[in-house]
Amino acid sequence: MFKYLLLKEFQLIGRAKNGLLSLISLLMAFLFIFHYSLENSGKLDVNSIVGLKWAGIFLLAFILISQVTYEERESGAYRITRLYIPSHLEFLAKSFVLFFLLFLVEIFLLLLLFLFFENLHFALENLLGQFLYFIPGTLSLSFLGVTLSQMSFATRLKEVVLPILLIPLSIPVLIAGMEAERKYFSKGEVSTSSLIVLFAFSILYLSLGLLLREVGED
Amino acid sequence: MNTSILSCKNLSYTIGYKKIFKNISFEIFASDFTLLTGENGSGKTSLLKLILQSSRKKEFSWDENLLADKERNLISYLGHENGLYSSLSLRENLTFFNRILKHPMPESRINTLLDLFHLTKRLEDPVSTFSEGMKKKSGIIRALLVRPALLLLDEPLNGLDIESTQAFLKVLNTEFADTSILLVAHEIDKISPFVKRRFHIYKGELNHV
Amino acid sequence: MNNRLIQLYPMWVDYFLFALLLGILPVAVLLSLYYPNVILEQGLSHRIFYFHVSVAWVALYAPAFSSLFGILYIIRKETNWDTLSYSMSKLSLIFSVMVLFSGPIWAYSAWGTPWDWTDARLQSFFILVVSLLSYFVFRSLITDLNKKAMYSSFLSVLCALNALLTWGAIRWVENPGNHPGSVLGKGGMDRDMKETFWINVLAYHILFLVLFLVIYRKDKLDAKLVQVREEME
Repeated sequence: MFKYLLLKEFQLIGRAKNGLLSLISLLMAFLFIFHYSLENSGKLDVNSIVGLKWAGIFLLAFILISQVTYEERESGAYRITRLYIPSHLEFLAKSFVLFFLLFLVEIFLLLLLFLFFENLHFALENLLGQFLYFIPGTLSLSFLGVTLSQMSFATRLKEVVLPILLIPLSIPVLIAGMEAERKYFSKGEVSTSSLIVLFAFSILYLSLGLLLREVGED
Repeated sequence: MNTSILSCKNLSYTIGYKKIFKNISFEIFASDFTLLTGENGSGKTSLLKLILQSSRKKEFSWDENLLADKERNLISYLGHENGLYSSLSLRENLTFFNRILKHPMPESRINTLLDLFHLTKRLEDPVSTFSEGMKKKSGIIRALLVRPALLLLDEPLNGLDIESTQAFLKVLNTEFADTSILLVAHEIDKISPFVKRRFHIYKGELNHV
Repeated sequence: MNNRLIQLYPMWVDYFLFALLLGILPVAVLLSLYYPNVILEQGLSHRIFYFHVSVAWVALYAPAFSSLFGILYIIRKETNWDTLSYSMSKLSLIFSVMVLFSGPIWAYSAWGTPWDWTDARLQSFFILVVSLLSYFVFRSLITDLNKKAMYSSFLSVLCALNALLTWGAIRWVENPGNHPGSVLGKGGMDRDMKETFWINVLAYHILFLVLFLVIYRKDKLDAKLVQVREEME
């Protein structure tokens, strides 16, 4: 049953390419603006570029999250799916697809960063650092995003409410991941405590999301 | 006397501070065709939606045998919305919803329903491109994919042409004769030949008419 | 909890609490202005410490109470718990804003800058305020009362998490910045400072209690008004 859910989710995303393209085009504009305004006065250091990377995804992820989660609620298909599929499977499928798409966007984002910012060099040994904390951070963001999209759908201005909720509440994850990654690039140390913190956030948001799916019925 | 498949005792429901139902009780029997009527805003749709959540509400109790039946889904539902994914094609929608059922319907049977409602030619088109009537027919086919213990239909005849209405009622009366049906409709004259019982909601109370 | 009662205890309790507040708050303020010695490097601006830390304590555990009431709503589904959670969130916001005002005033004279972006505690308090603001924006835009209460309860838990992270900011972060460490359990304060500090803590906690009673009653009356209007329809 989970595989049919995933197939349906990917079919929905395939039809709704505009969400993915919107995020990509906004990211490109976002990075270009920072590149043009900041690199002119001096090359940005690696710490700042790491900050840009995290900020880009965490600020703009709501576009993809709303695309992935809203469509099925518009015509009541979610209510029918919930009749036959346990809520936790539905939540996991949605979160997994969102995580996968955000991961693809992150790869594209990294390529743009290598292109725009001279101090970020493409090297295989750096790739571990680029993804080591980004992956659990994005996982937390996916769980939190799906949870908050359910809440925001009940409001009058759901497209506005989702970023208003998502951005402040995801800042702790952003800070934890960003600081750990900066430490990795400046000192070469892998912080297992930061990894534990990021995975702990993932588990917390996963638990809250599953609980909300159960008790916050339509 | 048919056995009771779903029993509801002392159900009260409030939206905010507004009381929709006050301690209503009713039973749905096997193979019953029940019409649910009431004024606009009386709570007909709310009642159907509450029945959808019956497995989580203590006021409802299902027949034990039905709960234990691994081959039969309890409920199928058609609301005001058609319950389909607008950006997917009709085929993709029906395939998905058929696959997640306990007992998927054979493809031949689905094709028969598609022919009956004249939707075969539109199978590959996204549901978002359909007219309102076609969306309603698509939703009906989706709801009829499953042979549930209880079929909940909320104003299914809205937007249907005469031929589709007749075809739909014929299917309900023949192929779903052993399914309990709870149907909300205002077109009582069309439904009355098939109805065995009627519930009427008035001022928060449910009356057996 | 009886839905009909607005006030759960006799009027004399109200009078007593108000009188206590009117007595202790001016004493606390005057004490902090004139009684203890100051830390020489910071001068007079150090006296804001007695206000700043007291309101910061309240600002940090008010979200915890709000989330507790929210969790009780999720379990019991009684609207009074949601009203309690909502009232407590208002207080959290009020006291957090007081912290954000008093902090930069103190920081400007102590560090030479009103906002130090390396300071983990400042940043985390800022995040807490933004989270609380988003809580209120969300509540104002949701129309279904049942869902408003349910989802607000979940949001209050997330805000409490941010409050917990704010509390831990100077304890768990490797380089928390210039922010002073915890005042508890350390022998760093002279006796006059300690006395003034604890009187201020008591005074602002009483202020918190009185404000909570006033705000909760107001929110309960608002909820009652909505209920009566809907019952009349």
